[in-house]
Amino acid sequence: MPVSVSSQTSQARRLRDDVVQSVLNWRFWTYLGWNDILKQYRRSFIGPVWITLNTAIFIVAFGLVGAQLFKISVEEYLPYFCAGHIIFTYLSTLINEGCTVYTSADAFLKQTPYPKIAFVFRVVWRNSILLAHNMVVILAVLLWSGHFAQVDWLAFLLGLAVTMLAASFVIAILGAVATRYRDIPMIVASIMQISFFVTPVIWRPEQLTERAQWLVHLNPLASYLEILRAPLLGEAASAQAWLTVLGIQAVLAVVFYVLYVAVRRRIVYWL
Amino acid sequence: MAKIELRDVTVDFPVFTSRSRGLLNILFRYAQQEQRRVEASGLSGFRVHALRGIDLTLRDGDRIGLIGRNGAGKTTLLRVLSGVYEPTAGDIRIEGRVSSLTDIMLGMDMDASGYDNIILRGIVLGLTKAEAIRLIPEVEEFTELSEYLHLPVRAYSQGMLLRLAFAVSTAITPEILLMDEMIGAGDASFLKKAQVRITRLIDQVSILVIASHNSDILTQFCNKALVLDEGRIVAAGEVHECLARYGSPARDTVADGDGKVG
Repeated sequence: MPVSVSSQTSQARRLRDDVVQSVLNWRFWTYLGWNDILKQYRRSFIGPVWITLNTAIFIVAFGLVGAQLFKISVEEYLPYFCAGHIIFTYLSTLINEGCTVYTSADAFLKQTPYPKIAFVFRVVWRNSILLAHNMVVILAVLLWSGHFAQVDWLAFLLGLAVTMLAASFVIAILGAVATRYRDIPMIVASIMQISFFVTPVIWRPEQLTERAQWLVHLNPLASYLEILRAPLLGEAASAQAWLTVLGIQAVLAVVFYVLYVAVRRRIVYWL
Repeated sequence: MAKIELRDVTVDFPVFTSRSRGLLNILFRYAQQEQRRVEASGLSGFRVHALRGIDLTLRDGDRIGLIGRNGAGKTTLLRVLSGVYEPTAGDIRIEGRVSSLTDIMLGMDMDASGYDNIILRGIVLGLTKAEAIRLIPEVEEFTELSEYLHLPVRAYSQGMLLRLAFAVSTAITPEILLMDEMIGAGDASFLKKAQVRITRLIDQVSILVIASHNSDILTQFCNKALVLDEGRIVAAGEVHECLARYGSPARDTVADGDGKVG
């Protein structure tokens, strides 16, 4: 929390201070994010593990059916679907919760000039803890199917770091826009719902015809999904997926910067 | 050395309705017609001028009482002073650690224990976890909640909850303290104890700004007063002179809620 503030400071400088303060105050957002998780544990014995259990049951049930549908062995299909489903849920929850990052923290933001990006990090952190819960399911499936030894952990962690950075940009952008235009969360929610079907979670890109490949190539979620899922399955993510991800990253960074220099100070007024 | 300087500070609020806030409505033509209609009706395009041309310098030792009717701009001015609202126009300089005690329960979690809430509240006030843990003995002593501190605070009475929130919130000493109405700790037995504690805190801070409708509070704690009306400072000076000029604010029983625009 800043000790000296002057309105003479340029907005670009203030944005830089906001980001720096957010990083330095990591104790603030890690604690709040952690408390968000503890909240789910406090009144039930297994808390968010319920979500993990539900996910596990759904994944096994659909995995068995999917293997039949696509005529692939369960040992092949289940790890693919399991990793894909859990990672997709991580991505879509980040995006959905990004819309409410500021509106859900309005009491905080109206009382003290907290650095705004700290709340963005809180959402990323909270969802990453939930992903860690769900990773247990992925690991169990990989152990069972015999893929465990082939996991490329380094590539997975690299993909995760890149995804977290992208998620921070997306949450910040959506958070600001959705605070101003309150229809955005609903629009985003329906887009994410449709995305589940047009992103290769249930099916593999190879199963599409040549003409439908654009669905994968033009879908940013598909690229992020690939750089996270491929290493878990012992495959290498395609160079194209990595190029797409890096391209998106650059665009997000520019949009974030321009948007926040323009409207960062107005966000509290919109709450 | 704490200091706050405001030069010609203006705060404009965009007031959003479903008509202006909804994205879809912007895409549709009829919203524009609607907006023209509202502009014609004199509401000047959904904007409220919450503060207008505020010039103010606060220095060490200042104990400022903000006086004004509901909607005069007291809460907005407090938010500008805290740095939450960056003014629409004009300059502001804030030097010193500011603490706003407008909502002393901010950040508390009803399902967490009293001890967990001391840490949560401490972190929300800007402490590290280690610093928050160091507050525990003092809070234990002041609140007299003893073994209740192990229970989730949802099991507390309103008075107990307030005592806890009050104890943590007043355990740290900022340089600049902002309050929207005097904070207290509920039940009668604690009123005196809380009074002693808040008086001690106020004595320690460099600058105090408090908005209040209670003339006793203002005369007890403040050495200057500002009268706000429709977003402007209409009078400044001695507390009792301002109170006399403003009328009898103690009769004005309705306290400001959080939802008002200024």
